[in-house]
Amino acid sequence: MPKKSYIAVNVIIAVLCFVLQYNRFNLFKFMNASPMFPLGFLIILSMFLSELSSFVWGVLFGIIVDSFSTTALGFNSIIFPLFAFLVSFIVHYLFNNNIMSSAVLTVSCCLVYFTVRFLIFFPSVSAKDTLSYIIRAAIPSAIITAVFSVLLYLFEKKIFKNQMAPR
Amino acid sequence: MRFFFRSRQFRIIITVFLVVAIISLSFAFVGSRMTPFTDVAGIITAPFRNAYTVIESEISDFVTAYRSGNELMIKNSELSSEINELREKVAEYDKTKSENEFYKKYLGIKEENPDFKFTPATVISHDGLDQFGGFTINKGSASNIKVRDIVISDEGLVGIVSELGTTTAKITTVLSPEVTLGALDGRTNDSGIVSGNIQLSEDNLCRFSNLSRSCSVAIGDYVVSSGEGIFPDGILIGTVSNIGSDKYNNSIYADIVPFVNFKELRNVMIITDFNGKGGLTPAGDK
Repeated sequence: MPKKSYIAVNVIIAVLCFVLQYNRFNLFKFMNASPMFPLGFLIILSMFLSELSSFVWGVLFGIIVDSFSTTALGFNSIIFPLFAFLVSFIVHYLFNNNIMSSAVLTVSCCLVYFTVRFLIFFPSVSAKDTLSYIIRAAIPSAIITAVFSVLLYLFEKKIFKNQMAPR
Repeated sequence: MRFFFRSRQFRIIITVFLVVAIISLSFAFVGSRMTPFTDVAGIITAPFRNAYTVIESEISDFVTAYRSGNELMIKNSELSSEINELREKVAEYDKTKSENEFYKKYLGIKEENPDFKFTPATVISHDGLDQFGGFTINKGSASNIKVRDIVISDEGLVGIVSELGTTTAKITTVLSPEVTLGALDGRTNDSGIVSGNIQLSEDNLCRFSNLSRSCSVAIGDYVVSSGEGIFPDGILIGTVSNIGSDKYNNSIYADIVPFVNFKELRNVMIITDFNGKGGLTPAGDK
C-alpha cells in the first residue's frame, strides 16, 4: 500500500474516532466510564510510526480534541504530542511492539490523562471525590479504551505489516 | 538511544512542543481564550460539526419515531401504512410546535426581563468525557459573547460560557463544581448556594446548600437564581428532590433536579447583557 493510502486510511479512522467520541448518543458509555477513542487511536498509531511522525499526529489530534473538549484550554495540545512521542520512543527502545504492549500503554496513558485532566480542571474538588472519580470513572474508562485499542492494534498491524519505520 | 537525543529530529520535537506549550499556557492564563490553534481548528471544523449535528438530530428523531411507530404497529398492524403517513405528519407538526414553543418561552422570558439581551446558539458537540454534561456551541466572540456569560434554555438555567473562541464557545453546566450561584427557594424565599459535585452529577443533580436550619424548604419546591454574583435573578434552576443536613449539623442542604436535560439540549440562549451585569465579578476577571 502506498504511503498516501496509509495516511488516508488513518485519517478516516481518526474521523471515525472523533465522531464516536463527540456525539450526543454516547454509545459506548458504561456506567460512569466513557472511552477516549482519539487517545486510544493515537497511542496505537504511535506504536507504528517514528517519534517525529507520532509527534506531528499528536499535535494535530491535540488541537482538534481541544476544539471539541469542554475542559481544554490547550491541555490536549500539550499532552497528546507528549504521549505520542513517549509511546513511539518506548516502543522503539524499551517495549516489544505487540498486543500486550498496546494494552499496557493505552491503560497507562489513559489513566494519566484522566487523572491529570481532572486534577487540573477541578482543583477545588476534595481528595475523596478525586479518588472516587479515579476508581469509578478513570480506571473503567482506561480499560474500555484499551479494549478498543487492542482491536485497532490488530488492524494497524495488518496495514503496517511491512512498513515499519526503519531504525 | 543516546544518539536520538542529539539528533535533529529530537530538537525539532522539543522546539515545536515548547512553542505549542507556551502559546497554549499563555492563552489559558489570559482570559480563558482558546489558543489560536484550537480557534482555527474550531473555525475549520465548525461547518462539518454543524452538518453532523443536523444528521445526528435526524437520526435521533428517526429512532424516536421508529420506536413509537413500533408500538403502534403491534397494536394496529393492518393500519401500518396509515400510521407511517400520520407519523411523518406528527413528527413534522411536533417539530414545528416545539420550535414555536421554544421561541414563545424565550419571548416570555424576554417580556419578563426586558433588560436581557439574548444571542441564540446551537449545540454542536457534546463532550462524552465531561462528567458534568458540558458542550460546545456554534457562537463565539464574533457574536459578542464573553467568558462567564449566562446560558439558559427554554426550561431554565444551563450554565456559563467557560472558554471562548471566535466562532465557538464551551459551556460548563450547573452540575459542575466550577459553577456556583446564589439561589432562592421560589416558595419560601430561603436563600442558599447552588453548586455541583462529582457524585451528584452522576445522577444529574446539583446541591442547594448553606440553608439555615430554620428554613422551610420542601421537596418539590422550585429553586431560582437570587441575582447574587454573575447570574441575573429569577432564572429557574430546578426542583428540590431530597433534603438533608450537613455532617456537622450546622445547615441544611437540598438536592436539586435541574429543569434542563443537558444531554438532550439542541438550542440555547446566551444572555449577553442584563441590568446589573458585572456588579460582582470573580477575582481576576475584567
